[in-house]
Amino acid sequence: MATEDATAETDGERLPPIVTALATNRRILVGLALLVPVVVAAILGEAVAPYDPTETHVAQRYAGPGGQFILGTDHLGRDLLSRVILGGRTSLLLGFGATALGLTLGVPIGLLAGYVKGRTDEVLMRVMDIIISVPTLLLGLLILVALPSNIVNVILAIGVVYAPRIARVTRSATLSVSEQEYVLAARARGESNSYILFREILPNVTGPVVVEGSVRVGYAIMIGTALSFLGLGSGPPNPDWGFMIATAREHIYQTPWFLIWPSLALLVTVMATNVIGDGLRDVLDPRVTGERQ
Amino acid sequence: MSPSDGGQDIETDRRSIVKLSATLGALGITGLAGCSGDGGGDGSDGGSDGGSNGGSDGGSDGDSDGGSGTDDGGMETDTGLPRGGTFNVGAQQGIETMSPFRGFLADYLLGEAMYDRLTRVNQDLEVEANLATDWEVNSDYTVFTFMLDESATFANTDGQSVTADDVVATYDYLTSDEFSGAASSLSGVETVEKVDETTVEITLGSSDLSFPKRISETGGAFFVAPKSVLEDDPSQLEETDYGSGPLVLTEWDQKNSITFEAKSDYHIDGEDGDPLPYIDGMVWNILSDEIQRVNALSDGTVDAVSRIAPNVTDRAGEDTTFVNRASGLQFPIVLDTTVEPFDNGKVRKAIKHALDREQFVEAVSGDGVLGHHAGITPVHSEYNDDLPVDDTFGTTAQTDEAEQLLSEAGYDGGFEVQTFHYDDGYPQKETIAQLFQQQMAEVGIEFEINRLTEETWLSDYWNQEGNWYITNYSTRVLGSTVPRLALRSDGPWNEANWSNADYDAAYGAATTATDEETATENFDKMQEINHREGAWVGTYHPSIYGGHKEYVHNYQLYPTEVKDFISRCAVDK
Repeated sequence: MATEDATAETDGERLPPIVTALATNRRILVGLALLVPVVVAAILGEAVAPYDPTETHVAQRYAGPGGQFILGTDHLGRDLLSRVILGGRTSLLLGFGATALGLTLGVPIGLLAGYVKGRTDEVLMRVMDIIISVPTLLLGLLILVALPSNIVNVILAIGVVYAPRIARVTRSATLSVSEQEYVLAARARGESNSYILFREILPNVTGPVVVEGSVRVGYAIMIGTALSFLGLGSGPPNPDWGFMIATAREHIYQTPWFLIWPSLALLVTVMATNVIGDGLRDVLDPRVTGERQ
Repeated sequence: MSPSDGGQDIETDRRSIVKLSATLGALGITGLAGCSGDGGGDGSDGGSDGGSNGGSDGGSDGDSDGGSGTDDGGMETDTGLPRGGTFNVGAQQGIETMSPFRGFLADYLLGEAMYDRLTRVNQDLEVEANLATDWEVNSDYTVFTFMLDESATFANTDGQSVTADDVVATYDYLTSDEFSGAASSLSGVETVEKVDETTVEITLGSSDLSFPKRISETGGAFFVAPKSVLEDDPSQLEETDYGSGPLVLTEWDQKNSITFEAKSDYHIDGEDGDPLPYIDGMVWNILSDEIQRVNALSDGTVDAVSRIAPNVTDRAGEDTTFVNRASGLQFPIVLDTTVEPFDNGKVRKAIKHALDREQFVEAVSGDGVLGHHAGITPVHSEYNDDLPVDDTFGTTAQTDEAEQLLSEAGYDGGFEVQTFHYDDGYPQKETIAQLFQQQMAEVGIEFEINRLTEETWLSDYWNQEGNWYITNYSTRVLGSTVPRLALRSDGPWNEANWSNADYDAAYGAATTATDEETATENFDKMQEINHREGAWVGTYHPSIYGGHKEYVHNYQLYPTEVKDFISRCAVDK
């Protein structure tokens, strides 16, 4: 098939430079250097945490770093290192899970709106606009007030909140791609709409979508943390950075470390995802790439 | 609702109290600071007894210091207490209404500053004179005759005197259909009659040694209002301060501050023989955040703060004094005796054995006290001092006994049980819940814990669906109030649905006794039964904290949260 051949041929030429560009992009490398240890520690979890993160040692509460507890203890004498490690699991799950859900919901909507155009586009985008017009945190709060507060629902809340933003980015990219000759050729061949959307258009809007998704991971972690801070996260005794920060605030005069460690972990993780997002944009976003060239 | 059903304020009041106290507690330990002194001037100690005087130790006394003299305009009295000046208080909450008959805790608190009751209590929860300068009681403690202070007048009424007609009118209003709640202090009252202009006779359906004290109960709402206003349009109370209290509300900015001026002819004198209060006025500054309040105290924006946690006291400057006192605030864990496995007495005992209450105190504040699993707290005169706290149920975990009891109850090795709930009203509850979960796991009792918003807990769980959760009760003036509401079989707030005939009989005997000995004997019996058999698992009672500048005099702490504490304070800026 002419179009496929052309694509394959193009891919054959572009693939190595993209991989090279990704592998040599300084931002991506810095971001990964920061993020990978956090991800690995969160995945290994209990295997690398020195203590059960929920185990209390009341007599040793507010311990500073060093000694028996490397990063110190919280107000109930729980090991902060273990809680930061396991808390990362929650935050990362939130960030990636909510982004994945946002992509799952937002990309098809954006593809459809950008491809079909007309009334469908109008209706879908106005609905997206309505959702976007509600402040993100407020919308997340509303969803979580209606649903039981647990990690699945937090992911659901954030995913739903971010879907419209992803849909808009996808639509924007789809609008230009849908007028490309290979799409017109696919139509002329009589390919189904779903084939055209997911086999012809989607691969060619991946760049901006991936960039948007990578940025959203950091935001999702932030908003998930904010929700946990407000008491709408997974809840105690489970370790969770947002909730740790909220609790630590009440004990800051006893031990600043209780506040510092989860905040630092959050800072590093969000910064890493944003830096990676910037790097991906450098490599994948045609506008940025074009400007650079 | 009948005034004698004991249920009175039921849900509205309970929810209001819990709602606000939880809001207050969101950032720290609740409590209320008070400027006391003995202030009672002509008040003496009221009448010929009838009331079981509080007299409990209440923990460490506030360490408010003495005066350091005046320097800029404060007029020093012959007792060394300065007069004049505006007292700036940093408070967590404003008020919802000016009516003394409705509202939340802060409303009750400021209601105490604006309005008087027949009696009041001091920081040791001992009954004192207020509108009634004296009272007499018949031999069986069913008829109380209160003699009113002839010099008491209502604010904003052109000096209208407080008379027996006003007391009767207030009673009529509080027990009428027009008033949706009911005053708990009036339960059991059959009639309130005028004897003469300044004498009123209250007849009870059954004996009550503690009635003079009961009418000053927290949330009891038996504040005396003018008959003319009550008969004309009681809603006027929402907009104007018609109280006979020491302070008159002059400006109400709902979000920021409430301004009061001293009632120049208040009927109770200070230590110097002139009318209270010592201050010219008071500004109630609403500073919702605990740190904000402490910072305001530190930089001198306010002269005193209440409701702070011990862990913020380091922030204040050198010219600040912090005071603390034991409270009767309690966070019992309620086990619903109508559901498995809590219907099994051995399971309930096992849970008490597995508990490590010293750990709660250490983890939550390091500065609280343990009591019995019985609803009457160590600050109350009714508290059973003869029953050791660690009797049967250790202050530290006794896992062997707990496991043995679980085995006998048919739960060898423990059991998994429904989710344990707590609400976010008090930060202490979260700590208790997490430690409780760990302590129970030691004996094989496994469960998830779930945090609820206070509103959800109140609407869906408290006294309803919740099989077990942490509840909370603020400090009441009478030790018998919480048992009356929540521990008797037919108590309206019997969250645990616990029923024990011996307990009910002891309660009845204690609260209708005509001599202290019988009352004490039965109060002791009640506590012992509840401690050993009941469905409340006691945790601990926190201390309460407040702070003031050194130029504030007579600043002390009340174990209750809502008692007038301004009228006895003096400032010497």
